[in-house]
Amino acid sequence: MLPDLQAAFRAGTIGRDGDTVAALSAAGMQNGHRFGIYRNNIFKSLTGVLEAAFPTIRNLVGGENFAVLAHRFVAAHPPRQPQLYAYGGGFAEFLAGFAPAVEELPFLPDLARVEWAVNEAYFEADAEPLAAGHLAGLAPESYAALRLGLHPTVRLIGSDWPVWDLWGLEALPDPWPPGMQGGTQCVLVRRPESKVDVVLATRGDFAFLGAVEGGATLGEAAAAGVAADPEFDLSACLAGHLAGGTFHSRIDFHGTGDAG
Amino acid sequence: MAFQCGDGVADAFARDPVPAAAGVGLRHTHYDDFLDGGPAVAWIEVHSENYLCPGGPRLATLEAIRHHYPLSCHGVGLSLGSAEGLDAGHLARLRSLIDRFEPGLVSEHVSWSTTGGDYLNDLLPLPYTEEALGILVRNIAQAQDALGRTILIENPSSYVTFAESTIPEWEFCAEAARRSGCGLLLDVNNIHVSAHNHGYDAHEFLNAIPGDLVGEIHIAGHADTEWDGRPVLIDDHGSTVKDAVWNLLDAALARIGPKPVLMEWDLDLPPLDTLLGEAAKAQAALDRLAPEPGLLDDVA
Repeated sequence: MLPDLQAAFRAGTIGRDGDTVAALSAAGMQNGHRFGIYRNNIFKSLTGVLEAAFPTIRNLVGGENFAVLAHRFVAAHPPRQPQLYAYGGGFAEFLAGFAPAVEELPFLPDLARVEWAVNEAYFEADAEPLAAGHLAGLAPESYAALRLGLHPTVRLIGSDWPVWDLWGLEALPDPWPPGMQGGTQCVLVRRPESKVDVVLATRGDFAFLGAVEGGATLGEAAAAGVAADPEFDLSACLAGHLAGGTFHSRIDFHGTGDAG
Repeated sequence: MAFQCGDGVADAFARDPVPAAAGVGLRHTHYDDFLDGGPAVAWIEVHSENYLCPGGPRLATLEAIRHHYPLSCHGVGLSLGSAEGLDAGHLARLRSLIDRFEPGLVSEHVSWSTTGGDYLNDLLPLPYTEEALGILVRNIAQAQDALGRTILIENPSSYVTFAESTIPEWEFCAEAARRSGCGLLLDVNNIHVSAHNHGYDAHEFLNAIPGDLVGEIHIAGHADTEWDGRPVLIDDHGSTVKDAVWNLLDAALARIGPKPVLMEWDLDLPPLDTLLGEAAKAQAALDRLAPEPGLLDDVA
C-alpha cells in the first residue's frame, strides 16, 4: 500500500537503511540499483541548502567536512516543511552536540547562530524602523518609562568567542591575530531595509537591547546597560540604534503620559 | 506604493494569462537582468516554495519583475502524491503567494515528497495503481479548493518503477486530470528521460495525452550518465535541451497546438544569453506551426 511504500522510501533514503531498498526491490521495485539516485538527490540538494545558509562555516571547515556535517544533520533532522529557506534552524544546536567538530572548533555553534540570524533576518517580515522623528513629540522626562520594541529582523547573539571577527572569513586565520585570541563578542543582526547588517555591539549596548527585547522600559534597560558596562551611554546608544534601524516604529506610549 | 497582502488592499496585479509563447524559469542569479524587464521573453516561471517567506528582498524583487512579465508559479513541495494528505499550512502560504502575485498558471507534480511529516527534497515516484490515483485525485481536489483555482500537474521523470503498477504513466496522469478537473503540464524532457530509463516509446506517451487538457509544456536539459555502472538519464535541468527533446517538442506542438513553453534550468545556471537562446529555439518551434485556420479567417 502507498503509505508503506512511502515510509520505506524514507527509511531507504534519509534513514539509509539498505535493507529497506532490498525489501522494496523484493516487493516489486524495478531498477532498484537506481534507488541511490534519489538518496543522492536528497542529500546533495539539502547540503546545498545548508551551504547557502552557512557559507562561513562551510568555508572554515572545508567542503568535505561540511558535507559530513550536513549529511548527519539531514539524517537526524530532515526538513519538516518544503520552503527550504527555513531549513537549518537546528544546525547550531546540532553542531554543539557533535563532539568531533566542537572539540576542534569550539566556536562553530555560535558562528552558526550568527549565520542563521542573518538568514532569518533576510527572510523576516518587512517593517518600518523607528526614526528619531517618531520620538520628537516626547518630553525628555518621559523617556525612562518608554518601552521600545526591536525591529522584527533583529537578532542578538552573545558568544564567548570572536564570532563577529570570524563571520565572513573564507579560511581559518593562521595564526590568529592578537585581537582575536579570546574574549567574548556580542553581535547584533538586523535588516531595516533590504540589506542585512551584522554589527559588533558593546557589552552595554547588548545588555540594553536584550532588556528592551524582554519588555523593559528604557530606564530599566539603561540600568542593565550600565550594569554590563560602566561606560554605557544611553543617549549615544539610542542615537546609534535609531540611525541604524534597530527599533520597530510601533511604539507603546502607554505609561509615558504622552499621546504619541 | 507599499504592497500589502491580505489586508483588503486592491489587487496590484491583474491575472494576465501566460501566452502560448516561450518563457524561462527565473532564478536569483538572473534577478538583476530581469528587474527592468529587459530580456525579451514572453513570460517567466518561478518555484513557488522559494517565495513563501514573510518578507525580504526576494519577494520585493519578484514584485518588481512581475510588473514586466506574466507569471507562472510552479510548485515543487506540495507533495500531491502523499498518502497522508496535504499540509494545510503550506496550502495557506501558497494561497497568499497566489493572491499577491496573481500568476496566470499554477502547477505541481505527479509525485510525492512528504511522508511522516518529513520533506524529502525530491520529486519521488508513485506506483501507478488505483489506490495512488485515488489519493492523487483527492489531494488535487483539496489543493484546488484551497487555492481557489485550477492547477496543472506535471508528468514526472523517474528512475525506478513498481511491479504493482497497473496503469501506464500517461493514462495515470490523464485520468488524474479528468477526475479532478485539473490540467496537464506536459514535460517533454521528462517523457524522454522516463521513456529511456524504463524502456517505453516516448511517442506512445505523447499520443495518449489529451491535448485539450494541456496548459503548458516544459523543456529542459538532462544528463546522459551512468549509475552503478549502468547507463541512465538523469533529469538535472543542468544543460541545453538535447536534440531528442527538441524533436519531442515539435511532435507535441504539432499534435496539440501552440501552448506556453518553458525552458527550465536549475543546476549550474548559464549566462542569461544561453538561457534566452534556448527559449528562442522554443519560440522558433512555436512559430513553425502553421497558423490556425480561424486566425486566417479573421485577417481575411
